[in-house]
Amino acid sequence: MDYFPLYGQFVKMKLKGMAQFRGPFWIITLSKASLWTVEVCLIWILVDRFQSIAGWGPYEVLLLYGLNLASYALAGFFFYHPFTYLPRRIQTGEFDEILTKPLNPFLYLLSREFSTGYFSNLGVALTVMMVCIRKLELSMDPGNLLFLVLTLLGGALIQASLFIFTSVPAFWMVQNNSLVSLVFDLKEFVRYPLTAYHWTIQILLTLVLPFAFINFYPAQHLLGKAGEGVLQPGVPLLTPLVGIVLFLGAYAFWKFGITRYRSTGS
Amino acid sequence: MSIYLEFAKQAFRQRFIYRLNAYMMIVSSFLGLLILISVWKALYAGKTEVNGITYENMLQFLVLNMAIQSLIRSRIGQKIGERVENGAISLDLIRPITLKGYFLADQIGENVFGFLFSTLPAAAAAALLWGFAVPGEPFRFPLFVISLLLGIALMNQINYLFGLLAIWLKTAFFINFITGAVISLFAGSFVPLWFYPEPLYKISLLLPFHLVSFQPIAIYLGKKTLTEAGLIIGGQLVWMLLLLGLEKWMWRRAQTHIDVFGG
Repeated sequence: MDYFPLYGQFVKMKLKGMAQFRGPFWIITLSKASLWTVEVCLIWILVDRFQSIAGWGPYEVLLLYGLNLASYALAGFFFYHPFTYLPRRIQTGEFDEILTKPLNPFLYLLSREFSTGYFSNLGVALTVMMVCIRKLELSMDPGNLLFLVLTLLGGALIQASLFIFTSVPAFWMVQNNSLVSLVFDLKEFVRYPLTAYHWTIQILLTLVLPFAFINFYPAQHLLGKAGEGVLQPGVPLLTPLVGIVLFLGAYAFWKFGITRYRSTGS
Repeated sequence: MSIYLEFAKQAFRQRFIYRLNAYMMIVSSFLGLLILISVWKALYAGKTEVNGITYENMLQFLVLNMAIQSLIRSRIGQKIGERVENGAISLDLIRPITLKGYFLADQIGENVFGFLFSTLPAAAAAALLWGFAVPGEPFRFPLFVISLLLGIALMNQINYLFGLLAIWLKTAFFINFITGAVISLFAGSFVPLWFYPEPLYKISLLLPFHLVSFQPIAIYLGKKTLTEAGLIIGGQLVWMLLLLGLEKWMWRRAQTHIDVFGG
């Protein structure tokens, strides 16, 4: 744990490197931001045309979008690069090299592979959330603000766990891209209110793959819609807890994966 | 003996992973469709029709759209952009036509594979579950096929032109995002143009993107008369010629632009 300053240095190096290439960085950030902005506009157009979906209006649905995108961005900064490229690192033997370093490979990858590509996601997500909060006239007292911050952190942990969980099978099988895409396809469900779906899907996304905690339950709490849906104990406040539990599970799975890992020998 | 067993195990494992991947792709396609169908069902709750479009129309649209999207996918822009980025383009400048043809053939092969082994099975499953109608008029289906083929050509051409922008922007990373943004906004494949607010609808019709997949599907669903279908195909041909002209012009500009930098 004395290595933390070192990990901080890695992240700093990345940020400095980013400042070097100013031109392309702006082009990339703006082009990514334009894609999310278009998505936001289309969701608004769709829900506005139909007035509501499962009793949620356009701005309420966009609040779901914002929570999902913001927590995804927070996780993406640290977890996207280390874990989506893990299969490739194992194939090239680069991962073996990482294992020989006197650092925790998990933390080392996390800090060395800090990604600078998520500022656009975060920017768009926070803007969308602010607009929704204004339009829906939600009171942002310290309690609600704290709730929002904790929700985003919990959501980020859930999204990070996804990156980890889906990458670990790469220790056993060479190709895992279909598994990754399948899990991330399932996450598409939470773009719209959970109550729009069949009860089996509601249970699946709460208990089996708890994606609904990323945005749906917290948004319910903020919008005073609690009590709708199949599973309704006092779940909205559980997001941070679900995030921590899931993340610890993912880390344990990662540890287990490494112990079972035998190099490809390349 | 044990070594043969090991071989057999390896062979089985590879087969298994390959098969698993293929099945997962079908499941993924089906899931995507299931999500969309659930969403539209919820949107239509308590409504018989919106802007003249019924829930049944929308169901058909979603199934067709999923199958078609796999056929019109194009990464030509990304590929050409990468060649610009790493400088290989300077060799291609001498023979731009052949390179484009090669990328196109590659893309079509990939798409047909994805269509046959991923989206078609998923679409067939959906058709069995929710039912599916075939156009009644004998001329409608051939017109749909012609407009779809032209749509595929248009999509690749549009994508290619976006890729050429890398010559001026000095990076290829933006291509998928910009192309994705422009196409999602104006093509009407995520939210059909029927539901667009008037100003955006008018703008979309002035651009070529609605001709890629939205209009062919509209022909299939009988939302266009046969005369209108003929006009759509005419429009696709005109746009294709315009965009081919634009490509020629861009290449000429690119040549002088690259000359400035000394090749």
